[in-house]
Amino acid sequence: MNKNPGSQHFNPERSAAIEALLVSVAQDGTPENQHFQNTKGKKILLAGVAVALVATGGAALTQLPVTDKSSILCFARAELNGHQFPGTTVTLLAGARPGEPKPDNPVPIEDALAACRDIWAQHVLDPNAPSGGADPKLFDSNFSYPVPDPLTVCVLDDGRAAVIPGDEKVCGSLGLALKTDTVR
Amino acid sequence: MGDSGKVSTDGELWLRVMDGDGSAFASLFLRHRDRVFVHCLRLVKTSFEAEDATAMVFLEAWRCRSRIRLVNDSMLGWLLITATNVARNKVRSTLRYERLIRKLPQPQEVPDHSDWVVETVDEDRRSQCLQQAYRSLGRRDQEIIALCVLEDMSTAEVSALLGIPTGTVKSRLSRAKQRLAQLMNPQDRFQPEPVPLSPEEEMP
Repeated sequence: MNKNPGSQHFNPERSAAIEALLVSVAQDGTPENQHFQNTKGKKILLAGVAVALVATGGAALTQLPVTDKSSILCFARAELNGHQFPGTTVTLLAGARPGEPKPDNPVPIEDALAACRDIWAQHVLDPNAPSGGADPKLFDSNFSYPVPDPLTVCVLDDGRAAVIPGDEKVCGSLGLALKTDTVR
Repeated sequence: MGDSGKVSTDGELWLRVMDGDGSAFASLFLRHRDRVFVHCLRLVKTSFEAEDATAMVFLEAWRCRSRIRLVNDSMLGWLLITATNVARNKVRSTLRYERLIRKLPQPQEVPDHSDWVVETVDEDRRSQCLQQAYRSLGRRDQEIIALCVLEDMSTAEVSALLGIPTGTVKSRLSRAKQRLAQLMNPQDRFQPEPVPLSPEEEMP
């Protein structure tokens, strides 16, 4: 194959700017360095407990807002056995840098769909596994594992969000409410 | 930038980067920039996008700084693998670094890719077909061809870099080359089963 496609060259002005950016990124305390610290500190998604209890109470199909954002449930498949589901619960924790006050934890998860998409993209879930959890050895740190489409946000009767593979009908089929703003 | 006297190895520079030495990071960028850029050009449409992707590869290096894998004291292999991932997941990478990347100088005018394609196709049609076929490959195929063929890394180096046995490197490369050949010659993709010879035809 052509080892130099198009014989194109790196723009010198942009190269110099990237060089300066990288210098700043590596230096402690610069805004560019801070960008990474913030990212690292606030995005610790804890995916835990492959099978967790769900308080559904056999809710009839309805539409509800998410009122408890302290954790969410990511389902590996549309299945609910009593109070158990195949999948994982997710909690978001904020890290504190040295000298800073300890932040309030857990951090509310505002976008349950995005959080579960990230969990899928890291291959944490496996719809074919009984527990819904993928083999940890298959963890994909590049976030490149395919995410099912569609995913729908349902609401448990304790007010938490549950993100389940399937369209909007999936909530009712499991006796859950559909998240209010899911309806267009 | 930042180096004097003897040339530092990637490993030495990276240790300095981990200690917050920005000039060491700039040195590594200058050392590997062109190889990463050329690889990105194989995966994206414009040189502007390839420059952005190159910047994001080095930002990824900082983000993953404790997990960088150096082979023979070089981080080039890791950078190329990351470039493949960044180019394939451009949307997510751009979102992650949008605030940093948008501060870079913007091009005077975004080149019209179609003009460039026409020119280049006239220049070297087969090379363009190969380029397109390469972009159509899966991530793992792109990765193995980039390392073993385009960058001439040894099987042992690629094995160490990817953490897989040398035999797996060879078989993965062989399959990737086959798929590339199929994409270059699509008429060969669905070959009918060979018709068994009739007894007469088998006769000498």
